[in-house]
Amino acid sequence: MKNPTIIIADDHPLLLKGLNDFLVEKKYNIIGSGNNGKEAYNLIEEKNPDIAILDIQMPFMSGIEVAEKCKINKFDTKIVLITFHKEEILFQKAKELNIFGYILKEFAIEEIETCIDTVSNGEPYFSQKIRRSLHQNSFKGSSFDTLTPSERKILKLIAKDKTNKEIASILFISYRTVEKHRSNIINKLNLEQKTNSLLIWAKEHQENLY
Amino acid sequence: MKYNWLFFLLFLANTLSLNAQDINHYQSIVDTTKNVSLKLASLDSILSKSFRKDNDIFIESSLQYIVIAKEIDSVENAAKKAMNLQYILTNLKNKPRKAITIIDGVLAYKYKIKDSFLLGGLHLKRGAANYRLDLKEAIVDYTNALQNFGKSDSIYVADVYLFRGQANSNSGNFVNAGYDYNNAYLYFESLKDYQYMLFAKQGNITMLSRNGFFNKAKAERKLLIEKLIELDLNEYLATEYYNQALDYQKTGDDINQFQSLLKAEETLKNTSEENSHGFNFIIIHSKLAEYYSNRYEIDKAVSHLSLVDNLKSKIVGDLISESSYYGSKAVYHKAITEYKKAIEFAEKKLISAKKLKHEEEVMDAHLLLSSIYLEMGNYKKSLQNKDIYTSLKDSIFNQSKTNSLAYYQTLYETEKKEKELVEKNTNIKLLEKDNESFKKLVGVSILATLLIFGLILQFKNQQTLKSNKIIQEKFSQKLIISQEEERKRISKELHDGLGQKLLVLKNKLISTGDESSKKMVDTSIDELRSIAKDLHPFQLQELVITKAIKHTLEQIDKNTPLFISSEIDNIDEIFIKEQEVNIFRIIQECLSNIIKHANAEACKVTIKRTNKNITIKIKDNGKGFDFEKKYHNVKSLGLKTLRERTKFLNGNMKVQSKNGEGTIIKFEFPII
Repeated sequence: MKNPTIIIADDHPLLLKGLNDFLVEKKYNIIGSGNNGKEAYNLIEEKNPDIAILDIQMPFMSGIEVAEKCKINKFDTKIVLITFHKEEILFQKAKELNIFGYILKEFAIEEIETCIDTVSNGEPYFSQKIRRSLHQNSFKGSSFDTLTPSERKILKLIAKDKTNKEIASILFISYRTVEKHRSNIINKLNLEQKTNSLLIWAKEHQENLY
Repeated sequence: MKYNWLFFLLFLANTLSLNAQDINHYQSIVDTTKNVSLKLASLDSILSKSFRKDNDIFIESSLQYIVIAKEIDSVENAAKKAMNLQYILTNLKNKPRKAITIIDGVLAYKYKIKDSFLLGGLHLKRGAANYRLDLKEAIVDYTNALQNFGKSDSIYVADVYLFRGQANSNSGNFVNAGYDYNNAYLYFESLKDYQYMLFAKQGNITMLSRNGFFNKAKAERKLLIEKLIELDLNEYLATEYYNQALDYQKTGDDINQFQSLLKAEETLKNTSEENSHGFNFIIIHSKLAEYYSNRYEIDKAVSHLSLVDNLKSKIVGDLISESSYYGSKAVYHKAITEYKKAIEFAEKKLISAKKLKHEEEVMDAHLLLSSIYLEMGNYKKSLQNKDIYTSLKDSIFNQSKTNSLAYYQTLYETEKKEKELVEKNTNIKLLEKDNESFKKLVGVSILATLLIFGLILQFKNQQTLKSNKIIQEKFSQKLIISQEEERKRISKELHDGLGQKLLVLKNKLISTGDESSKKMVDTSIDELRSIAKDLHPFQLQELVITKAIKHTLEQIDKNTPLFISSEIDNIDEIFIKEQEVNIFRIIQECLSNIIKHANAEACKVTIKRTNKNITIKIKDNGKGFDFEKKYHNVKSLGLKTLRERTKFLNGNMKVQSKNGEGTIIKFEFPII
């Protein structure tokens, strides 16, 4: 899809103008812009653009609401959210609504071209910066980083020679939950299915747990 | 001169129209029969038929009856007849000596008489007879009567006291007389016999005047006369006027003496036939004649004397009448200068008075003789009589006796006053009782009023406290709300103002390509974002309460060493936005407390939803705290804010914590 039709919406005039000018400068086909969610939806309904770049927090309708409505009405327009918020919950919500793109505002200028191009090709684009901030510690190469916070805390207790029963009591969880966490940890760390293997590993890596 | 014997006159002697044939019939039976009981029965019939009709037959038959009754040992019957006979013999037939003889004849058998009334009665009648013969003897008789009368004879006892009082008074025993009069008065009072109460009083008054207490006597007599008029007792009223006249005579008040005599005469006309032409008639007219004679109004004196002269048959034999009549005669004759005759009558008066042992009359007689002899020029005889008069006077009214009387009178007055005092006291007590109950009432009312006021005050105080508390609560709620709004405003400001400007700044930096500046802007934006998120996590409608809570828990789990476990029911769309904010804040505050202060290893958050309410339980295994101490610590706002937020949701908060044993905080919010 060459030069897709685009509408943009943001309640903040300065940012709207900035983005608009930037895209126009880059020769994108901007067919309309709106100051709030309602205007944005009307534009989508009226002009049926290929891509709609929407701020999430807007008066009358949020970008997410607009996306929801478009999904219900089965519009073809691909929604790209461009937002200041980077709560995981919003990110997940966006994924649920089959939104094509999710960009943080501060990286809009840097990422928007890539995003439009990706989305134009029918591929969703989720900003790497969001991914990174949501999973700050993940994928640092070590299998240790794959452990959840809970699993790490349990490991700490194991390192202190606590039995499963004691751990359950301390953490207000059931014995079986502790067992489950244990087996998950062993799997994640690729340890042998031996009784003491986890204890030994925990003792060996104690300094990393803090 | 006083003549109290009027009291004895109890019956009227009507002119006789007797059934002579009946009496003759019974008389023939009496004469012929030898059956004793029949004889007595017949005599009894004669007595009942002749009583007050034919005194001679009555006396004759009575005597016969008494003799027979005594013979057959029926002494009590004889006593009755003797008693009935006394009055007729003494008062009508002027034969008191005979009456005494008959009574003595019966009294000889007195050991056979059981009835106290008869025994006392015989002595009483003997006294009555002796009253005309010998006052001292009469007093002895009355005293005997008192000893013989029983308890049931109180009316006679009262009579005896009255009569003995009169006898004592006439014989100059004033102290005894006063005692008797008062006793009589009290007896009559208890018997409620007002008439006789007055007689007793009359006796007392007479005594007062005789002893020279004229003012006192006058005052008392005035009351007595009023009472007598009220009760329509004309016979006694006449006597009282007469006595009043005597008092005025003694004080030399001629005008009032005359007035009183006229009143006595007038009053007497309204009395019964027997009375209006009997004893009182004699003494009153005698006194009037004496009065006129003394003023030398001879015609008038003669007219009054002639009235008395007509009753000569009634006078002779009655010593009191004799004394009065002869005295009057003597004064009259003295006035018309027939001195010889005057002396003759005066001597007669003296004899009668002496016989009667009426001391005052004797004195009067001597004084009269003295004055007549003086007129005659027989100074020696005049002086002799004067001397006798003086010595008698001294003997009767000697200082000691008068003193005794004065003493007695005081006593009497004191008693009277005491009685009044007692009555007053009773009244006062009654008043006091009333007063006391009134006081009690007043006391109770005051107490009740105070109580009511107290209650009202208390109520008002409570109201004020309540409203104060409400105001304070409202204020805290408002504070929370405005705090929340302020946070929201700042958060929005950061996002929309400062945030957007930073974005624009960054966009500009991209074109210039200053990498280090670009990084700094990125950090600033990140910082701003996290501040804004902390300030108000609900920037987006999408972020509902349940997810927000879960998100927070995840963040804590991720970023702190605290181990978080949770069981969370969906509580979306139950509360309005403000309430949701509050619930979120409550959880946030609790968790932040645990992280900051509890030093806990783990925390468990449970949110349960039922139909009626939502319970939130936040449990940690930290060091715990003393809730009361922390709550009242001015510096620790957190707990207070928790409570305020809980109230805002109409919920309640329970804190279960002990030092070293962790903490459980439970909230319960009703679903409306």
